[in-house]
Amino acid sequence: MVPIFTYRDERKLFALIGVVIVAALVALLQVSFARQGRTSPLTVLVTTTATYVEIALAAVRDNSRGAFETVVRTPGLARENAALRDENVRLLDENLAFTEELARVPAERDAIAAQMRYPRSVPANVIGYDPEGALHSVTIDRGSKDGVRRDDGVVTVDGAVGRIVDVTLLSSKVLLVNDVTSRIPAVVQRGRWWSIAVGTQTRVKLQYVPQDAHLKPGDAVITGEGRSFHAGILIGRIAAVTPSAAGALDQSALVEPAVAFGRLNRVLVLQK
Amino acid sequence: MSSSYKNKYRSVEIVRGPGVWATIGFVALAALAQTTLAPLLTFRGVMPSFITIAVVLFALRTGITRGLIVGVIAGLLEDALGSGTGGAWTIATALLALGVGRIARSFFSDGFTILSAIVAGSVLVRNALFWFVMRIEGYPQGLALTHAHAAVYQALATGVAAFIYLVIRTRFVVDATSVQRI
Repeated sequence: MVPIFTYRDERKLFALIGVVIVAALVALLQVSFARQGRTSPLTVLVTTTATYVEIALAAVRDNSRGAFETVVRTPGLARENAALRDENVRLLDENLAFTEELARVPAERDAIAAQMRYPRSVPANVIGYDPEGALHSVTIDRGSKDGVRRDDGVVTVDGAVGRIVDVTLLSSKVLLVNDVTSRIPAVVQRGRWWSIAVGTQTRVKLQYVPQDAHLKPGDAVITGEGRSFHAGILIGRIAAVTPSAAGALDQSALVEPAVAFGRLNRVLVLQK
Repeated sequence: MSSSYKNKYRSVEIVRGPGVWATIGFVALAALAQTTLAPLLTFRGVMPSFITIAVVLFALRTGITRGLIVGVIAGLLEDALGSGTGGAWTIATALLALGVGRIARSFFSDGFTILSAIVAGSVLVRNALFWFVMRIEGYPQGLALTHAHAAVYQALATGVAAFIYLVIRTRFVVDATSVQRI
């Protein structure tokens, strides 16, 4: 009987021989690198690939475990979350209170300093401004019941604010020194030159300063003894000197007020 | 429009519009906001006049009588909250409401730009009237000119505020105005 030889069997044989050869080559390569004490490229390739797969599998495992634990611990987590929310609200409130306390410190400090400088004064809060800003005036929360009278001077620790022009039982109106209708006696501190401080809406203008007064920017301008103020309260500092015309008897200067009128909060009423 | 219409009717009168009490409430709120929040609302030394916005828009939609009521109350509030103005704001705002209410008889517009421009112009007119009355009350002459610069800026700010108000208002309020021929 003649043995049957098929092409199919020949391919299987070749494949088997090929696999044996490749395996032998791999084995030889591994043995060779092992003998040299180095890691073979094949090992590196396999290890690297395996590492990535391990990372992916570990991530899946951890997330699965996390999800499982989350499901198991949900009731406990809800309670913990509620407690943390309550604590967060309490801490936010506390933080707000501390921030407010901190913001009050400079104002309180200024108020105390002003009160020490003017011990017989009446402290007051600014509660309103002129509704249209046509006149520069503010409303304070002290009136005739507190002893406030018309023409009393109003100051802060920084300097002169204005004078009382209207008094009711519970509140008073203060005309600011930068209002165009405000006029108060003033003195340039350095040379004791007398003048009149007139409001210009944004600043104060010194009028009728003697021609021989050598005014300089930065000179302090203080109140002169008058109906509303005692002498020596700072009005502001000279910002610019207006050159006088030839033959003029007096000169004028612009004064930057010492008080920031847009941020008035606490003031003192000086009772005369 | 037929000629008989012209003979029969002199003009139209708005018989339904915003409520007087609601507008007075708004005016009171605006006055309080302007007096207490002035430092926050002031930009470059000027503050939009919410009172003017309320009075002008109301008078434009309701006519002379109701406009005048709101105008007088708004002016009174401003004189009470301000200082040294006597009755200047009352007179100025009442006259403004009277003028605007008169315009409302022959003018109607839904255009935001036109209404805002009227509000801005009203600020200038109101300021001029105010300083005129202040002059009569004994204040120094020329204060209107001194404040002219600020008045122009206030007019612009108020016009912009009115425009924003009108744009927002149309999104939430449907007007129910009706007119009657008289």
